[in-house]
Amino acid sequence: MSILTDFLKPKIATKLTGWLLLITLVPLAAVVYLANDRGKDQLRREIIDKLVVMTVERVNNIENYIRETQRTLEQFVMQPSAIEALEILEKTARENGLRSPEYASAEARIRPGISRYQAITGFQDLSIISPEGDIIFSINRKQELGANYKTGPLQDSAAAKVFNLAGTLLATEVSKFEFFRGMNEPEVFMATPFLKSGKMIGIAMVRLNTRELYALAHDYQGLGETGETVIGSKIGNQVVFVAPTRHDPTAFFKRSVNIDLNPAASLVQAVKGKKGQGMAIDYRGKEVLEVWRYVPFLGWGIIVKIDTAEVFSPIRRLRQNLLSILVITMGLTVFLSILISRSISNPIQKLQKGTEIISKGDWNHKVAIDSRDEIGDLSRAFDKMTAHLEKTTASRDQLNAVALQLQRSNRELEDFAYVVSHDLKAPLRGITSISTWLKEDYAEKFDEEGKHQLDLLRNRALRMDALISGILQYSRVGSVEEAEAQEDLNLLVNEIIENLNAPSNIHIGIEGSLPVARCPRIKMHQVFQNLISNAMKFSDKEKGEIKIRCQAQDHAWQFCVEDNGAGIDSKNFEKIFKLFQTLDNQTRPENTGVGLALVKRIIELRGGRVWVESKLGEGSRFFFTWPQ
Amino acid sequence: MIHNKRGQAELKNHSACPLYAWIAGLGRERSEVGMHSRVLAAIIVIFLANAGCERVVIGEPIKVGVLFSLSGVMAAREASVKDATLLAIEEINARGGLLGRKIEPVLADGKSDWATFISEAKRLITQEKVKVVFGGWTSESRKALKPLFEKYNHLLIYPVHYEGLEQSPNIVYTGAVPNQQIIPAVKWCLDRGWKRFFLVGEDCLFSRAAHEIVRAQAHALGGQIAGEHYLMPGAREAKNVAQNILSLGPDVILNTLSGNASINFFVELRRAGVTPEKIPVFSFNLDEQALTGMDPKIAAGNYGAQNYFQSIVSAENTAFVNAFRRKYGESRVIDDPAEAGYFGVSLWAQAVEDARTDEVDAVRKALQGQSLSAPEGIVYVDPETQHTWKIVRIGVVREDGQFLIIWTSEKPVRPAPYPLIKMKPEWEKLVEDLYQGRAPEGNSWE
Repeated sequence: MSILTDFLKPKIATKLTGWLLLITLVPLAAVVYLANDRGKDQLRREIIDKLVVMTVERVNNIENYIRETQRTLEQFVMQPSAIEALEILEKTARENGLRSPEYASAEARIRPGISRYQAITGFQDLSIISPEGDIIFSINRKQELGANYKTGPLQDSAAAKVFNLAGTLLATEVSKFEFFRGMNEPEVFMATPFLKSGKMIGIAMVRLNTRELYALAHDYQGLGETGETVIGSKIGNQVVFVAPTRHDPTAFFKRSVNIDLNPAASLVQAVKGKKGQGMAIDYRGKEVLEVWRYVPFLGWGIIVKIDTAEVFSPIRRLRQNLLSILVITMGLTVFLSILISRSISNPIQKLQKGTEIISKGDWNHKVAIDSRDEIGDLSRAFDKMTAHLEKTTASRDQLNAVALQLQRSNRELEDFAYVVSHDLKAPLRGITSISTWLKEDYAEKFDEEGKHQLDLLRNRALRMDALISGILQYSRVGSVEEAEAQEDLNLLVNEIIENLNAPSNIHIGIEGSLPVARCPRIKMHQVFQNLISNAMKFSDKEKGEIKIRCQAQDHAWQFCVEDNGAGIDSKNFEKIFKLFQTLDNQTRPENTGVGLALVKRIIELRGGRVWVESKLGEGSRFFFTWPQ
Repeated sequence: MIHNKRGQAELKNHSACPLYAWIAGLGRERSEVGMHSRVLAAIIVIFLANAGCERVVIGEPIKVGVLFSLSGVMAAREASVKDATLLAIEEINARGGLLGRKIEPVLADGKSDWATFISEAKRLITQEKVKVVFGGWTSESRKALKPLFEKYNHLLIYPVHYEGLEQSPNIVYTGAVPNQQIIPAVKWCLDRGWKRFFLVGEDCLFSRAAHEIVRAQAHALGGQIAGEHYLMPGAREAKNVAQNILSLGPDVILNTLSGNASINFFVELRRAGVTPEKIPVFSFNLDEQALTGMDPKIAAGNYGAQNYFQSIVSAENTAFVNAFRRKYGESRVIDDPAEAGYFGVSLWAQAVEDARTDEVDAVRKALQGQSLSAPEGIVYVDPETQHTWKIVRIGVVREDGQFLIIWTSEKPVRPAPYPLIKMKPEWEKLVEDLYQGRAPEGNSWE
């Protein structure tokens, strides 16, 4: 299971080993394949080609040897001296018999010339036979003198057959290759007719030198340690080895191949006249490369072959070398890839562990990999980052504490403001009531000056009340949560305009249309009411104009309340949004300087922004944005 | 065009190579292995493309000329050799051709006329650019073709037994020369004690030269020529000849007649009461094909010397006869030249494979020393004479038009185009005289 997981999601080490093995082994394997298979193929082809050349050369050597012999023999029978010798021998043998002194003297006269000729030509023997088949001269086989090829014990011999053929076909003929009667070596004969004035007057016959024939076939030069030549001749239904082989000097006329049982054997094919080449198992049971041919003169099949073990030994050595290189390379590759992958994956693991430790809060942990490569750089950068993170986290915590404290004190302050303003209101109401009562009940007792002072007192008290209400309102903005809903601001603003009941010289209107926006209804109401009533308040023109409009931005609405009233000096742009700041010197008790501060607070708490653009005497434009 | 064909052939071969296909498939199918593997696979493919796949280029077919008389008086006689030649070509093509190429036979009609043989041969060589010509029948046609093939240094493979006394580096002779048919036949007669020969032939090169050889052999071996007659073409002298033979009473009649002349001769002999028991006829042109032109019973019991008889019992011959009959019909018969034409194609094909080219010069050289196991037995192209070693057979005509084989040479007989009986210059002079003395006068070979 784990092997499977390893395979499907391999670790670096596995991947690396795999790739390295692939990269190194594929070319190597290809080289081994090429060297082995293709090389073997190539070598086989080359050796076969070489064997073909050698086989053809051997066949040609044998053929040429026989042709040469044939030509020499044909020359011999055409020589007048040879013809004369034949006639003398034939005549004396016929008239006086082979044992007569006449024949002996004639033979003694003729022998030196023929012997010389035999010596020059290298024939093993040379016989002269009369047309009737009597052997009337022989250089080496005197015992056969007088024997007859047409009758008697020799009539079935190869020599008798070739005598008959040459004599009747009137051509030079070569006998079959066979043992005859106690001969310890197989014999091949060649016979050619003597012709005189177109008449056949006798036959010359030579025995071919079988050793020379073997020598021609058995030249092992270029055949290495195991190459040899096998020669077979068809005798009955057997192909008999007619020559000793290199590996079995006693093979000749002992070993044979049965034609009917082994029709596909190369030696059988060869004596059937077929030629070929290829790989086969030879008579020793060894695998060989061989080429076979037919030798027409002797009816032989010849095989020239060499053991594949020898042919392919360089390839085998090469393959062994390559295989050991392959194994060593494999080992090295695995070892190296483990080393490399360790050098990569160890620091990575260390880094991973470090990360885990640090994530648990141990800011002091250092990965500290001592390496100059990219992983070392990474670990140093990691340590630096940890240090940096530690600092940032510390200051963030401090900030959080401060913020909490601030929140708390803010809340306390708000509570305090609420409580204070609420509690202050009661005595203030008392002061207002008492001053009213004083004015009413003691109207006669106060002079004008006293009444005026009482009015001032009452005014101040009312103003105080308004201020306290403002503070209360202001402090509530932050402390009271109001649910937001989709509000049609057209309805909202129209309602405000209606409630404000503006004087007839002031016209208030929505320009275009306002959106349906998500907002807390009461707070939005406060915002618009304050801005519009402010504009009304500072309307000093004969015809006042107040316009409300909205513009959609990327993520917010941008609202604008514009008037053509008194305008604001730019130095006061900041001041007007501050609590209790008014510009008209408290001429009216209800001008507490809370309204715009309240607007600013509502908008900014919601993430918006408020500002003013204005020109003194021309009018003002109050802008605010409301995130959608 | 050639380029395209080769290109396609190579592509096909690549896709046929399983290793290539497997690696190519690896890159395609397992796409999840990613780019790296595909690149790697491609590298492996390039690395192994040359190594793993043998390049077999299917080239243009090898053109060979097949030149026989398809019309005229000789057409019927030459039909079986033409068909056997085409059969051999077809069989080689069925085995995959030569050097990866098909053999394309270009059939040409000699129209039984030597001048047409020359012009057609010239067309085959110079226009069709054939690499070899299989063909020729009569000696006159071969004599006419010889200088042409020597001039163009080309290659003719001639399948008919003939009078010999000729040799050309540009001709390979797959038919017999006299020492492979006539001389053994005469020897066979002499062995039986038949010493008085009557020679009957027609006034053509083959008959005249063959008779000369028989005369020389008989003379050398103490035989006699009791009489000799040359029948004129179409003439009705057969009757007289039969009477003449009866009066002379030879031991055996040697017959080198061919075609209708031979048929008439046998009819007249039989009519004159000459039976094989009385005076046997030894024929050299009477083969299975010729016997289809007559009632075989008329000739039954007489002898023929050939290298091939359709009745030979061997695996090679059975296969050949069956293939021939399958292709051309059960009623068709095969004669000696047909068989020679058949294995001639195989010898040439072997030479092309050995030479690894179809170039005429190289193939001609490679043909020397080629051997194979033909329907008739072992055949071997003698490197010295470019004639073929052949087994000699003597058969008796059966009543069904086939031959009963009664004698076979032990082993293939080496061709001796110039029999030893005379010296080569003597033979050459003889042939020259015979050939020149019979200057061609139209289509009168029969």
